[in-house]
Parts: sequence; structure tokens; C-alpha cells
Amino acid sequence: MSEQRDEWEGWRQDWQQGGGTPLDARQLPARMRRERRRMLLATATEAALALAACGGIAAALVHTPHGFDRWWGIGVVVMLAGSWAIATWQRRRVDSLSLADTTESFVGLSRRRCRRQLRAVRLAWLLAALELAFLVPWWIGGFRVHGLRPGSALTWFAWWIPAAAILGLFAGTLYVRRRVRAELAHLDRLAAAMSADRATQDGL
Amino acid sequence: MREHGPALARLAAAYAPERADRDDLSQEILLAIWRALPRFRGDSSERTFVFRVAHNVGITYRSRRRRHPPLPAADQVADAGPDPAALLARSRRHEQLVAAVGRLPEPQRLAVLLHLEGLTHREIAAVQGTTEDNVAVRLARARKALRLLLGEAEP
Repeated sequence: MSEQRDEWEGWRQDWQQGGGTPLDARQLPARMRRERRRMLLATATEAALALAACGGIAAALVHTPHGFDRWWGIGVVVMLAGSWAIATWQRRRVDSLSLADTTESFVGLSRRRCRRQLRAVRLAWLLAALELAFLVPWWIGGFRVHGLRPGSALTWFAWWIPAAAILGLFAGTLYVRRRVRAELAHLDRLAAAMSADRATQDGL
Repeated sequence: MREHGPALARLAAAYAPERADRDDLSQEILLAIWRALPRFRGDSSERTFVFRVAHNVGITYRSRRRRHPPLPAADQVADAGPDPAALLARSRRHEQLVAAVGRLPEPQRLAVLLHLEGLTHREIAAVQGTTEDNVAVRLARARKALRLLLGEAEP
């Protein structure tokens, strides 16, 4: 027992020789400002994407004579706006995710957060498909009927901006999906290691 | 922060191998503690609370990194006195220990990092959310592994 204690004591002394970089709390306010700017930028980008997607449909709806198409478009706008609101609410919840929880509980919460993010990505793709299902026929028929020119205001609202928004959304969600899947894989391994550790201890 | 600063800096160094990342992680830990403080209800000790937050930030940091390079060699060694040989030996022992700790399975590594900072089994159990018995088992296994790893590292 005493040998174990001595061994740990020796390692503790060796360990504490490494001072690491001293923590400098004076940099904290600048860091907080940077974090706030990053959050604002992320919220603004999401809002711009959602507005562009909704705006594109709204611009096309004005010129859509068929009842079914109109209801389809309105449905997609409502879903887009709803999922944007849910995403914003979820981000607030993630921000308040308790970092002061125990490791086990925190890992569990983080895995749930990752799974929720992956579901959100799938929902975004579904919405993009629904939006495309509405816009593509309009792009084909609407341009012909209205004789739109590439630089006209309606073309910007009904074609360029929504197309860029959908492309941006696709690229962004692909990146997020890849990152979150890697994070989830690491957290799954950690959770499995912790539970295997407990299981073998119980079996001792 | 004066009390826990050096331990938190070592913890950041254990999670982030490169200097720039380490500084970034240190700031992230400070920010997380600052944000989590209003939720401190006193149901655990202040030290347990601070280490819980710091470890959880470290876990998030590691899980978001694509690759997990081996843990760093120390680039800052406390003053060991005027004897360069003693300084070198101490620095080398520290480097070997950091590398060995980095090779432990993650649950053991988390327990060892806390134990090396002087936390009791009870405090480590409170940080990890497990039992004291489990902590004792993790540390016993880690000790065996560390002996082997440090034995291999001996010249």
C-alpha cells in the first residue's frame, strides 16, 4: 500500500513539474467578444439562408396560379420558418448544456446533442428537396410564362438567391454532418470504454 | 483562479498537444468556468466543480479534433535549481510521464489526470459521475499500465 502511495507521489511530483502555459484571465473579455461575434455571425447566416429560401418561394408564389402549387409553397415556407426557429432554440439549449455535469452525464448529453444535430441535417435536406420540388417546375414554367431576364428583380428573388441558398445549405450541412459524425464516433467510443470499465469491475 | 490556474494549465496541456491549441483550450476552459459559475450550487466542492467543467471542455475539444496526436512533451519546466543535469532529468521524467498518460485508455486517463493533481478518490468519483470503487479500479489498472509504459521508456 505504502509502495503504491510512494509511486503515485513520485509521479505526482514529476507531473506537476510541467507548468503548461499560464492561464491569463485578462484575455477573457476579448475571447467573450469574439465568441459573441461568432454566434451573431452564425445566427445571421442561418437567418439569411432561411429568409432567402422563404423569399424565393414567396416571390414565385405571387406568380403561381394553381391552388395545389400555392399550398405546396406555403407549406414549405411554414416548415422552413419552423425549422429555423427550432434550430435557433436548440442552439440556445446546447449553449446552456451543463458543462458542470459529471463526465458520464456530460458524455451522454453530448451524444444526444450530436444525434439531434444529425437529425437536423436530415431535416434540412428534406426541406431542400421539398423546396426544389416546388421551385424547379416554377423555374421551368415560370420563366417561360413570364419571359424573365437573368438580371431582373424577380429572377434574383425566384432563381439566383434561392439557388445559392440551397447550394450553401447543402455545402454547410455536409460539413456539419461530417464533423458531427466524427465527434459522435469519438464520444461513442468513450462511452463504451467507460461502460466496459464498469462492467469488468462489477465482474471482479 | 490563482488556486487552480496551474492545474488547469496542465490539464489543458494534457488535452491539447500543440502550443497554439493549448492556449486556445485554456481560454475556452476559463470561459466555460466563467459561464458555468452561476450554476454552482455548492452541492460539490469548488475544486470538483472547476475540474468537472475543465474536463468536459477537454473531452469536447478532443472529440471535435479529427486526429488525436500523442500528448505533448512539456515545453515549460518549473525551475529545478541551478543544476542543468537535474533540470534535464526532471524534464525527461515529466515528458515520459505525459506520453505514458496519453497512451492510457480514456476513462483511466481522466482518472489519472485528476489523481495527479491531488484529487481524492471521492472527488474523482464526483467529477466522473461514478463510484469510489470504480475510481480505485481505474487507478489500479492505470498504475499497472503506467509502470509498464514507463519501464519501456527507460533508456
